[in-house]
Amino acid sequence: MRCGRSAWFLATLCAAAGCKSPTNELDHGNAAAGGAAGSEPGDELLAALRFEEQIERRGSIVLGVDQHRAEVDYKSVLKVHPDQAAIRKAYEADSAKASVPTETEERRLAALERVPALIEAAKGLATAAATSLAAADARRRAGELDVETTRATQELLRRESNLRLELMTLAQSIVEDEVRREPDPPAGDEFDLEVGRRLEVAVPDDAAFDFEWLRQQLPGAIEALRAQAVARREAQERSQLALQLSAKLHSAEESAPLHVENYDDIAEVFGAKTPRISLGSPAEQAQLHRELEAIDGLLRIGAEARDAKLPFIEGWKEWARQLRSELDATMARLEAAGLDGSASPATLDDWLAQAIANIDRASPLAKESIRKLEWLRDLAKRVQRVVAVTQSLSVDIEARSPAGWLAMARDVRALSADLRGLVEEDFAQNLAESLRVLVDWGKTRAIAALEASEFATTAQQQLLDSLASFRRLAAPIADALVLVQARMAPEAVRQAVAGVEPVGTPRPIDEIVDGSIRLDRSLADRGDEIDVAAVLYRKVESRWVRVDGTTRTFSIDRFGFVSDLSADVAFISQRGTDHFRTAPSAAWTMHWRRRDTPDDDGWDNAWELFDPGIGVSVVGISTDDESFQPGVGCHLSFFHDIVKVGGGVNLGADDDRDYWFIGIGLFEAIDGIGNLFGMGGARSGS
Amino acid sequence: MSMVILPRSTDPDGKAQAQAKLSACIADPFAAVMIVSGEGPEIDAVIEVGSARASIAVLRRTVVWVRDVKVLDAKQKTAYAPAGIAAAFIGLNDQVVETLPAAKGAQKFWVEKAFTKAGG
Repeated sequence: MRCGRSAWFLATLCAAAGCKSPTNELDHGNAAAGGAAGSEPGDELLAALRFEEQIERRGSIVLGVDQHRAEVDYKSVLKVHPDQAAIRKAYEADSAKASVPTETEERRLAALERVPALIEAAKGLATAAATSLAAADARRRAGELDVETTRATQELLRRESNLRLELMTLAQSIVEDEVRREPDPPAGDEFDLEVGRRLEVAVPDDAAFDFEWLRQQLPGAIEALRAQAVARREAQERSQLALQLSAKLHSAEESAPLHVENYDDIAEVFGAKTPRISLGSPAEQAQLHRELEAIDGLLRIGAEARDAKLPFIEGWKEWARQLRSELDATMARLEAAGLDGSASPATLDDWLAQAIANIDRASPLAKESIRKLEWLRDLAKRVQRVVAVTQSLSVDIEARSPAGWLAMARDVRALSADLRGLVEEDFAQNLAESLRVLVDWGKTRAIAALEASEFATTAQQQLLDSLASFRRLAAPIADALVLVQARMAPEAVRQAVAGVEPVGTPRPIDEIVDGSIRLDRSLADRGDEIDVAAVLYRKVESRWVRVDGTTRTFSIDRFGFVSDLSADVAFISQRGTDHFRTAPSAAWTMHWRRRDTPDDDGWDNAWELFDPGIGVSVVGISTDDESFQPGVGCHLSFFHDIVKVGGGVNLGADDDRDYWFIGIGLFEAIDGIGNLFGMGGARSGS
Repeated sequence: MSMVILPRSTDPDGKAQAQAKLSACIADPFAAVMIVSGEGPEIDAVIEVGSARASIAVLRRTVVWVRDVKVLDAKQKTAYAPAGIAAAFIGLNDQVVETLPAAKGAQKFWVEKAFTKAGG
């Protein structure tokens, strides 16, 4: 009774037809990436993760990304093995990136590259300074040293010594780097003394500084500086990558985070697991009960349709007719007021279109009226659609055949949006407001609009009456829709929680370990889905910045011998009668569910497509005189409980008690049809 | 004038002579001055290295050995001979630009760099 089985059916059907299911597409999208650099965000990260399912007493299964469908058993442990080396290879700095120096390193590299030119300049300045100083000294000895000569000489001496100082500082930095690179470099004053000792060679006894020594150090120094940049960047990036694993369980009821061992502190929610073969969990039994009630309600509507007891349909038709009539009259008055009158339009839609065109030409005040008329036009369309589909529905029900019920499943889906819109939207209030605006506008055009005002009141009342009637009779349909929508809930809930930040703290890359998701302890069950997300972070200025992320989705199922409950519409042919009777039916069916594997052959795919099962069913037969008779029988099930064929005994009949029947799993069929026509349940994105 | 040894304070008129010599050295517009203060084996090493480095550019470098810091007035003592400092280097603008402890003052590179920084 869990949702998602029809999606499985669809996937199997598609597999047999050689196409891909949406889930399959997602997985293959990731698989195709398989480490192919740059194909899709997250591909490299996904390729660095290995998923393994551990099942009690059955060993473990590697869940490769090339698998047809990613499925896990509801009593298994899903392990995620992050490959540290692969993550590093993919995300740590490559040599090109790492060789990019920092700003400081860039400055130093530029300075080192300028050294040869600086040396030549320093030599030239030294000669000039020596000459100038000798001349100044001669003048000083002669007592002729003037202020200008002194200043000029001093300036030359300063420039020369400054340039020499720059070169000496570069030499010092080269040696300092050399000392720092050693395994156990000295610190403090000892560091300076060691640097000084090594630089003795650069300070000859007969010259201030050995420029040639510096020149010889340059190639090694530049290479060492670049290597230092690489090492620094690599060390920095290695130490600052971190991985976070998180998991979310999407069930029909909710979407909740699941504990991933070693990655978060989320409290585990222990839940009793329903056995693979059982009469269903309390939740499944409750859902069976609700679905049977909805089917019973639909069958009653069918009976009322058959007996022409659906007054609300006529009520809606009448209301739509009156609406058009009154709007016709309003239009006529507008024409009489001097607007562009033309031949009477053939349809309500034409009339409204013409009215909009006319009013648009009339006055800026008409803008609001136009908006309201457009709303009325949309309302009229929706009313007409609901009337049409409801009529079609009554025909489907009245057909009392499997084909009719499959058609009904399609119609129920088509009705969903309009019905929800009409029931939930406060359109009665909107209608009154729209008519008031039209009346006010009419008054501004000096049109006697008393009748229109009266119509507004009358129409609103009629509409409310119709709504009450409609709501009462449509309640079973609405119930059915709620149940159908509940089957779609995982997708809706998933979308609602998309973008919610995962819980937990990123684990540094040097400390990453396997993450385990204990499905055997969780509430996860057949039909649920689990999203396992991996997000890679990099630390930038004490903040974790997201680098990449990937999500893999697994369907949860029960494998091996399993039992299902389903609510069906049974078409019963009892001995001695010449027509089918419809009846709600509760069925318990046993299947052998096998896991999808990459090695599946045609037989395996066919088994999954037909999903044969055998079971027992109970039907509530309403006889022609409206008495209730229970029936018990056995059946064969196909296509994931959508179709059942079987026979049984009417326990309430006095004679001709045996019957055979065709059962349609109404909700399985609706879900399946929805998926086939892309009306829900399909996954998108990762 | 690459090496000047100042008289001691106990010498006759020692302080006045020391001040005169020190002023003359600092006043040289083209010479950076290395003032070495104190006595002892550590200072001897500093003097040895300083005089050697000064000798390669006698017009630009002068070493002044202040064996007895009492010849300095309080202001000079603070500037040229603070605690833990063996050598102070005075630039062409007559301001202290660098100081060295005894250990670094005994190494050629640091002395050479300090002289260079002082314009010598």
